Amino acid sequence: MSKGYLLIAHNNQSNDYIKQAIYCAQRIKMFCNDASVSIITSNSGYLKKLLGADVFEHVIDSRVNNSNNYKLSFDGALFNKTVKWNNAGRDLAYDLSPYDETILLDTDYIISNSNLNSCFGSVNDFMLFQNSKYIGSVEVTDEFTRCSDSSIDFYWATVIYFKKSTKSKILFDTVQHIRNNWVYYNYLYQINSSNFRNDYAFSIALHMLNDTIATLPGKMYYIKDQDFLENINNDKMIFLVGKKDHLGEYTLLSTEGLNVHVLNKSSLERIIE
Amino acid sequence: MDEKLSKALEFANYTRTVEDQKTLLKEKYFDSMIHFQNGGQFTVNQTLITFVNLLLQKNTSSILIDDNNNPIDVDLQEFYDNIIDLYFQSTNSYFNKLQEMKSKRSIEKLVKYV
Repeated sequence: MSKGYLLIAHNNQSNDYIKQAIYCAQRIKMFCNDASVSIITSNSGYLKKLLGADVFEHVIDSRVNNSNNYKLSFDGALFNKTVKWNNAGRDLAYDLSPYDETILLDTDYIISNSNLNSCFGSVNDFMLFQNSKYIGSVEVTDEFTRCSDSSIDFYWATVIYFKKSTKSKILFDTVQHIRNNWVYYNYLYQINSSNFRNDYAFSIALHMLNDTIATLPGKMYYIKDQDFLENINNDKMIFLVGKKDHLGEYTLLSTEGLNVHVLNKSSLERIIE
Repeated sequence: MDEKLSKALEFANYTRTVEDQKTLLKEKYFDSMIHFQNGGQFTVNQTLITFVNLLLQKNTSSILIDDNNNPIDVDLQEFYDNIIDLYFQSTNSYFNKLQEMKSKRSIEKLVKYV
């Protein structure tokens, strides 16, 4: 059975997801026994120009676009801008993945241990994170517990383990159907988000399939885009996280051996450069 | 600013950081207490260790229910050895890291910024 990691990277005007993907792949190889990593991208020419293609076993060209997605992107608490955001195509990962067992990752999920590698060989057809933890001390609301106050349980699409099976195929096909009919499902599930978001689409699909949902080991740790990633040294990361009720003031924090989802992509890119 | 107040605020920042770092250490500990065997995922805790030890007195193999409610067939002795190893490694590391943290008297040293 072939197994490997799969990243999806489509650049926009604001963020260089290709550079993030190269960095993410290097870290996967560093911490996960030189695992196989592949990429789905619409910027394969740029990837080759960066000489980053060598780190990937397979470079898969895909040009899905949802040009109507815009979001407010923060870089710390005091700076934000509206950016175009292409998050379409995650539902195609099942068909495009070259592996029998795949761990699909966001490029801003920074690997610092080999825990995910242990998922290969799982008896489950697919697994996602349900539990997450903000690494700062400020209490985070229910944003990542339920899709909205009156809606269903929230699951993260940041990391997805799946194997090629009928069950996984049905899940990804359902997500694709939801993406194609986002306006309807957005109203039906009372999510109130004009933007298509993969986390919501997977949460809805899991709810529709009405099956037992297996979760990935541990929690998904994250920082918000109002916080900063300050430094990375091997498995150690240093962050500046916002203080409660003190906009623009930060507390210093460090993690060692924890995988962290860095929502402030701009600060991640500064570290990569 | 008054010197006493300034020192109090500095100390408040320090204690906040200590608490945050303690929380992260605890999270790392729980993260490391997950054992994978035969496709199953098991959170190692005192209950599991005691239960497997009890089963060992009756059988050499058994079906255990994993974190995702999958029934997994395991060799009990091998499973027990693995989880007890993991338990000692993780708890010792947690203890040592906490002790090390207690000796750091500044935020910079706590987060190993210097």
